[in-house]
Amino acid sequence: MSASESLSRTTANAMQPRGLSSRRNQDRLMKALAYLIASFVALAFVFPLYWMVTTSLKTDVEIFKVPPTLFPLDPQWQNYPASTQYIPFWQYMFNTLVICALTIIGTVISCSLIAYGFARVRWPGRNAVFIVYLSTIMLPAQVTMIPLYIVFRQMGWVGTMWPLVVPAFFGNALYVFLLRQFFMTIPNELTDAARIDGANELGIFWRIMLPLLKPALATVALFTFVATYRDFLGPLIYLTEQNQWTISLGLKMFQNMYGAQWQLMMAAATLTMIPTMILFFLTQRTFIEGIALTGIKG
Amino acid sequence: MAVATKPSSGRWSASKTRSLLTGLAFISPAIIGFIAFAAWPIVQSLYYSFTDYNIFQPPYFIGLENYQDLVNDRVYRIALVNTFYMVFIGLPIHLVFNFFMALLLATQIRGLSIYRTIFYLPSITPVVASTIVWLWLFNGQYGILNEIIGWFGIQPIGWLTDPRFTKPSLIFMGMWFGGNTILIYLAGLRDVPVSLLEAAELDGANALRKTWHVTLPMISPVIFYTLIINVIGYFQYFTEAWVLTATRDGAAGGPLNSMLFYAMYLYQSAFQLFKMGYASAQAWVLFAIVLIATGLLFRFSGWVYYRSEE
Amino acid sequence: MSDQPTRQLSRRSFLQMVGVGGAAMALAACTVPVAPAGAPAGQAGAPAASGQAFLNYWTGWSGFEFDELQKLVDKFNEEHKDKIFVNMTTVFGQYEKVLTAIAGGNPPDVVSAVWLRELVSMAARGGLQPITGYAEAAGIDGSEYFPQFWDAWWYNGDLWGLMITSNSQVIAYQPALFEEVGADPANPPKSTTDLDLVAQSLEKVDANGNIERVGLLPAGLTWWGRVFGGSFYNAENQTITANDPKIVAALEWEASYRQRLNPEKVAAFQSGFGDYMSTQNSFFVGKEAMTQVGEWFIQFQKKFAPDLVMEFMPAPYPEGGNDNTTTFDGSVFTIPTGVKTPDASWEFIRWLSEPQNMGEFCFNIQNVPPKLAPASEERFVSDPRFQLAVNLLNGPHAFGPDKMPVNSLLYSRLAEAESAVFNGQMTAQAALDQVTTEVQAELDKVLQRG
Repeated sequence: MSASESLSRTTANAMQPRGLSSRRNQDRLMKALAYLIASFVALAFVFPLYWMVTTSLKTDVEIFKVPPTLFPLDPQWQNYPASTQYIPFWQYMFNTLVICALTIIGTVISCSLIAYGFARVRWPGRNAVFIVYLSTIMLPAQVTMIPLYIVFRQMGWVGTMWPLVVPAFFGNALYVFLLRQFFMTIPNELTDAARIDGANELGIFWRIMLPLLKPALATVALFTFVATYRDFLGPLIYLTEQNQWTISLGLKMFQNMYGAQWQLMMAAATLTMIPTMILFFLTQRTFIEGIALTGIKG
Repeated sequence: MAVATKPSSGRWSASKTRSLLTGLAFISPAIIGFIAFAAWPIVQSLYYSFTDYNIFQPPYFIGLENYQDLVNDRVYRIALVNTFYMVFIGLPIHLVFNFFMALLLATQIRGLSIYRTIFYLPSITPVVASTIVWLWLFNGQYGILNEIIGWFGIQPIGWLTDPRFTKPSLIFMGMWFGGNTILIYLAGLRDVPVSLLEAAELDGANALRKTWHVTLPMISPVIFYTLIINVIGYFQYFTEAWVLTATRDGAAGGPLNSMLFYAMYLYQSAFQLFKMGYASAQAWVLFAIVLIATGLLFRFSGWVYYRSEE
Repeated sequence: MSDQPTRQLSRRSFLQMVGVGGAAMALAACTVPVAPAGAPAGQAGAPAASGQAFLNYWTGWSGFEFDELQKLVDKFNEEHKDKIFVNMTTVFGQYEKVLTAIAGGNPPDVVSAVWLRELVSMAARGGLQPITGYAEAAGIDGSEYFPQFWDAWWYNGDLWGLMITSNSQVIAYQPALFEEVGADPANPPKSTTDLDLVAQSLEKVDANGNIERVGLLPAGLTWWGRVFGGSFYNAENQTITANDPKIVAALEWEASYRQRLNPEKVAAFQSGFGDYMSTQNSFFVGKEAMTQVGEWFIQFQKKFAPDLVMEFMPAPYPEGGNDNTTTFDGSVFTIPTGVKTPDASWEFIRWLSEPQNMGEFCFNIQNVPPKLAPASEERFVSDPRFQLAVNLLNGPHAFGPDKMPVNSLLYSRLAEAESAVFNGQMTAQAALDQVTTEVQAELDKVLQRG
């Protein structure tokens, strides 16, 4: 990232050279400190994952060696193909991705509309209604599980993925709230001008707000993806056929009453993470862009 | 000059009706979804809370008995206290830590994208896999954590076996799973107008003062969001503690129930002890607690600064 | 700015909004009918012949045990071609799935994710349908089964399920370590007094009080309470008797091992135990010279510590206690209330209970078949350790869970009491008094509503 680019869009420019030499030294020191802390914490963050990956390359004997081995003595690459055969791995990945894709589409569309209604349209009672809406996620899901199951059964959806996917098209209070917060940080001048030019609300939403909010929407998409792919309870309750399963259910198949095929489970877990990791690495700029206010700042 | 949507003060006007209709139209998916998927289950669970409902037989109305039983339930009190511990100690620690991580990741150090990926990785790890790895790290004998503190001459700790350490251990572990919050903070930090920071700098503010007087107010909407969402989430804290403490018998809660949290006891009541009515009463008490807590946070949210309300 | 254009715009925008909402709904709705619920036709290898019963069977087994059972299910499907097809799904013992489905009016046709100790809990609450009539018609009168098992499945004059596997509790010990401390491995301790002596001599503690090896860390009141001759429940007057003096004595005795070794050190020692199903099992690595296990432990020893010599002994007992005590639990095959084809469900359970079928599954997962004939087969009892497990189950002191509807609560409160006493928070008497009061209150409530 070029210095000028970063200067123009981040808080970090506060730490860039300013001309005063004492300030420059101070900045250098700060930067060195930042490196040090970041590296140390990153090491700590990466360790559990490192452990997961090395475990996936060990034999079932080596996993529990005392003292533990930091590097696999003899990397067991065949654990990977073995883990994708132990469970129908690709089938489960495919199922998971289908559910994720539909859920993301539904969540992004519905949540942005709803959030706009709560944040940018001033209507009487909107804050009260918003609190009521938010309160729907305050009741633990365990006690609405049975009646909700009955609802889906009457719709004939039990045993399909629709109970996992369709509700996403009707908003999720978590993400509505997030988008509402971002909508509310956008100054009114932007939309007022459009209103004077005769744009209607939908036009303002679609042409002005959504483009500004793209990074936030990408963030919602990411969160939805991760939450959906890690969800265990929903698939457990509603997917009755084992060939419809998602990967989080599949991973449980490595466990039995006494323990588990840990090395295979970790291999499968590592495999599931790789695409997400690459995707995140490549697109992360989008998520942290913030709602780029470059056009109006200053 | 937000004229078009600002309701004219005083009496009900045509423009008010208009904006009401527009607002309702935008949130209509939420209204439809609420009616279709939420309303009836919520009403049902409220009804269950006044009944003896063993899951298999129809609920039997018993008035307030479930709520009265809660008052005298010793284990319920343990779960309640543990949950408050998590909300009042764990949550602030995590949010402050995540905020500092975000500040760190907003600086211009080389390899930033790798760092960001690393900090987000734990959040995308499958739950079973990550908790199992933590179970090993916490292990008293071959766990790496005791190994590390051993280098500093500290005696091994029973991270998950000593009731004094179990909750701090969970909080410690929770620091790994703040990826979403860090991302939200990062996005917020990106929105802090450079001009404001420069102005503050010209006034001679140091990094700390800039953070306090400029950065924090500007990202207060996202801080407010993470606060509310996590208060709701931490009161329902469940998964990690369950996976870490579940035994082969299906019991969970750790030594002396020191890791038994509200949602866990609720789950046990409903699905292991067949007391769905009692569990529903617990759920509605929790609902009231969370509603009051978030209500208070909204009530005292004057510190949150929205530019659209300038 | 005049009022007029704004109003028109909003009206239009309102209509558009409704359109968007409607479109979202329509999108959701039109995606629905693609996959009908639970349709057998979509199943791989499931011919959708008319008149064929399609059974959803939910099991608690997962991992390698699931795979072994699947072989048996395949065999069943082969033998019942065009009549019954069984589709097995694991629910990993997650109760919420089973209970939600039953309560939601969509029960599986057969469930075996029901622990024996919860059988009465579910039967008494109306979650299961009795199979008494089916068993009678099929000529199953219990004579083939170990008597305690057969008895354990009856409640209120009805038979509620059958098991095809079972377990038996024993103590495993290492003869080599016995010899090391001068104890006779051929004559393991018979009484708790002898056990105390041997266990103590096997204990190794370093200068700082850190434990390196224990003889045995006795735990599990549901077992030791029985060994000490206590009982938890009086069926005659429906009273919880968890504070039976003999159970109090058992708990005090368990706790004495912790006191001797220092409870904190024991917790630290135990937290260092390796994964159970691994070479680092605390018993295999010699951290425990004796350990409480079941007959299934033999397969783990063969797999993870093939060179280790391991023997089994029954639990030593105190004066006034029970000799040759074992306790059993296990997964019960049941038919939930409200299934569509109970006859087919029963046929599946009956078929699995045939000696050769249950024998095959038990052998593959190294469990004890609950029927006498398969359990006495050479492939099982050629191993004297397995023989001991079988003998204990067939003896007078094989105890199943009490037949009362609040066992889950009792078991979890007993475990809590143990941990409180081990940590020195409560006396055994006070802890068990508390268990008794609390569980009794719950039981009274359930019985009063029942």
